[in-house]
Amino acid sequence: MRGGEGGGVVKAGAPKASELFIRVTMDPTDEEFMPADSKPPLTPDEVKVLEVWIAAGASETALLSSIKGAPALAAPQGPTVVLAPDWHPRALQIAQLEKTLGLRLVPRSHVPTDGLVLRTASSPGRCDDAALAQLAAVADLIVEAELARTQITDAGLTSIAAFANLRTLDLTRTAVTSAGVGKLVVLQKLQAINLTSTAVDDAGVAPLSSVASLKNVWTFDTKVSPPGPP
Amino acid sequence: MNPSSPDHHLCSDHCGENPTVWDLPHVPLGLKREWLDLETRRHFLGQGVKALGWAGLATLLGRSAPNLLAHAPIPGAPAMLPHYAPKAKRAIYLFMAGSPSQIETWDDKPALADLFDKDLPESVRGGQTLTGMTASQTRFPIAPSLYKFVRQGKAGRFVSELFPYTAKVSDELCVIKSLHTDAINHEPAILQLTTGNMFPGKPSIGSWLSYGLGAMNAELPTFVVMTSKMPHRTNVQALSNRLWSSGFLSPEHAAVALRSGSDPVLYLNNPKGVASDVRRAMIDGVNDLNRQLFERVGDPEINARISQYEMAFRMQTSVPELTDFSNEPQSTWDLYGPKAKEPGTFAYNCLMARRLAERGVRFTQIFLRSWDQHSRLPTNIKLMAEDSDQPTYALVTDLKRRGLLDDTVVIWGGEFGRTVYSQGALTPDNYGRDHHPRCFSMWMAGGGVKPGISYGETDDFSYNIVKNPMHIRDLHATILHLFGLDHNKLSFKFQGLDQKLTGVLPSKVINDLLA
Repeated sequence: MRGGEGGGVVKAGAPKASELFIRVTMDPTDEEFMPADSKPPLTPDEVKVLEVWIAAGASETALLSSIKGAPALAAPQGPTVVLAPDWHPRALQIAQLEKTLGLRLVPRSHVPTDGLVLRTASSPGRCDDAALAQLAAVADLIVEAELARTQITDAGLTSIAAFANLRTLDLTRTAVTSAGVGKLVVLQKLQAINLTSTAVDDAGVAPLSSVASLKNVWTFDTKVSPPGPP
Repeated sequence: MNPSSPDHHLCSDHCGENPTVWDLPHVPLGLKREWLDLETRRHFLGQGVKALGWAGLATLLGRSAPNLLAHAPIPGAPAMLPHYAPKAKRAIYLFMAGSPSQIETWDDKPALADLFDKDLPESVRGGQTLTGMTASQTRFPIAPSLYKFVRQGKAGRFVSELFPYTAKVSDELCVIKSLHTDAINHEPAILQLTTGNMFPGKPSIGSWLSYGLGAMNAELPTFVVMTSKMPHRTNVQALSNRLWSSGFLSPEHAAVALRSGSDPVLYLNNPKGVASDVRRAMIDGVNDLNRQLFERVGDPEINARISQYEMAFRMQTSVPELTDFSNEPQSTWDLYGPKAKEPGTFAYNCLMARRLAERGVRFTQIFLRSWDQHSRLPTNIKLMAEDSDQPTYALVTDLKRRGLLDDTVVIWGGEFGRTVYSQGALTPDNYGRDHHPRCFSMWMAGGGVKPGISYGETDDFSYNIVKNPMHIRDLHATILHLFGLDHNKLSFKFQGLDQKLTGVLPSKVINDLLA
C-alpha cells in the first residue's frame, strides 16, 4: 500500500496509529470519515477484521482464519440467482389475468426475478384447463404452481409444460393421470412435484426420472409402489 | 372520535387552505396513515371511489391490489411480499401450555441418576430469585428423570420413552435445548412466546405473518387457534384471546378460534329460517352503512369490520367443508388414532391442522394445557404424553407423506422450563418441578429447518445454558426468516416506535437451524 500525503496507510501492530483504522472509526460526521460521500460505514465486524489484521502485523498473505480474534464474516452475497424474468413489465397483464381467471399470481418475494407463485387456494374450483391455457403470456414467470384440488386434467398439463421456469408443482387431488404426467419431462428446472391422491401409477411417474433437476416426487395415496427400504 | 364535537376542527381554519390529513389535529397517527394509504390507492386508480372501503376495492381489483400497486409504494403499508423467497408457507405451532419439563422430554441428563436427592449446588442457582412456590424450601434435592431415553433414528438422537411415537420421526426434528426466556410465571411467559412481549396488547406471531404476507386462501382465516381437551386437569392456566390478538395491527389479523363440537365458529351459521340470499342482502346493507360511516369518520376499524363480515360469509361455505372429516381415508384414522374422531381432542386438532395447512391457512396454533407439573410429575407427564405423542407423530408424518412438510414448519414446546430440583417431597417414584426460565427445550420440523440436529447445550443439571443460548426473540426472528421475512423490517409504527415482533432488544436469526 502506497500511502498518501499524510504518510503510510497502516502501521503494523498498531491499529490506533494507522490512518486506515482511524478513518473508518472516527465520528461519521467528520469530513475525513471513510467511506466518504455518505456511503454506508463498515460494519462492526468489518472494522474488527481491520483491527485484528493490523494488530497481527498487517500481513499481505495471512488468511483471516489464521488471525486470532478475527470475527467470521458473512460470506459475500453471490450474484442473485435469476429464477424467472422480472415480472414488473407485465404487472398490469398479471392483474388482468388474476381478475379474469379468479386465481392469484403472487410474486415470490421482493426480488423481481424470483418469479411468481400460481396460487389457487381461494377458489380451486375455478381453476381448470381453460384457465391454465390463458396463462401463456406469463408462463415463463411462474416458478411455483399450487394447483391442488383444482379442476385440471391431463389436458391442462400441456399448458403447464410451457412453464419453462417451473420449480415446484402441486397436483394433489386433481384428475391428472399417468397418461398426462409424461408431458412434464420438458420441465428441466422442476425440483418437486406432488401427485398425492391422484390416479398416477408406476408407469406414469417413470418418465419423470429423466428430469435431472427433480428432487422430490410425492405419490402418497396413489397406485405408485411405495419406495423400498433404504 | 366525534367529528361534530365543537372542539374537533376538521376545517381549513386551522390548517391552511388545503389541509392534508397530516395537518389535522386530534387524529391518531395510525388513522392518518391508513387514510393516506387509501388516498394513495385512489390516486393511483384515478377513479372516484371515495365511497368505497377496502373490501370494495378488493372486489374491484379482483384481490390483486398488491400486484397492481407494486409500482406505487404506499408509505406505512405492509409489504404483502416476503423480503426474500420463503422456505415456509405455513406453520403449525403445538403450544404445550404449562410447560413440560425439559428433563423428562428433550434434555437428556443420564448422569443425574447418580445424584438422586443430593442438594443442588448453590453455585448452580447462583442467587437466582425463585418463585414463591419453592423459595421457602429448605432443601433443593435433585430429582433425576424417572423416564429413560432411548437412541432413535439414523441421527441416533436420545428420545424420551415418554414419546414412543414421536421417536419414529426423530430424524425430522431439530431439537433446541438452549432456549431461555424472561418471565418465570405462566401468563407473562406465554404472552412473550406468542406475542414477543410479556405485556398484553402486542400482535401474535400469526398476526404478524398475516399482516406481512397476507392470506393464501381468502375463504379461510389466515391465522387459526384451537384449544384442546385435556386428558387430566392439574394447575390449568386460563387461555385468553390476547394470546392470539392482533394488538395494534388491524383486527382482521387476529386469529379465528375454531371451537370443538358441531359449531366450530360461533354465530357463523344463519339462524333457522334465514336463507343464504337473505343473509347476503343483509350483509350488503350493513356493509353499505359501514362504508358510509367510514366515509364520514375514516376509522380503519370500520374497514376491518366490513372485511370480517365478508370473511364470515365466505366461511359459511368453507368451514363446513373444512370440518367434514367424512372423506378422510382409513389410513388417516390409523395414523392419528381413535381420539381424532372426537372433536376438541389434541388428536382431532392435529388432523384439523393438517386440513388447514392443505387449504392454505398460514398459521395454526394448537394449545394443549396441563403440563404444569409442580407435583406428581411422573404420573401426570405420562398422561399428557400419552394423549399427545401419537397425534404429534401423526401430524409430522402426514405432512411429510403428503409433501407438505417441506414448506410447513411444525413447532412444539411450552413457555419455559422446569427445575432440576424437586418442588415438594422427593421420593424414588414421585416429585414435582417448579418453573424455570433459564433453559428449556423445543423442537421444530420441516419448513426449511435443518432436520435431525440438536442445538445448544445446558449444564449437567439442565439449569444453565453452556452453549449456544437462544432467547425466544431469536426463535421469533428465525420463524419469520423461514417465512422470508426480516424481523428488523417487519414493523408497524405505534406509540412512537417501529414496533416489531422481536421488540427493541437485539435478536438474531439462528442460521445453524436452517436447512
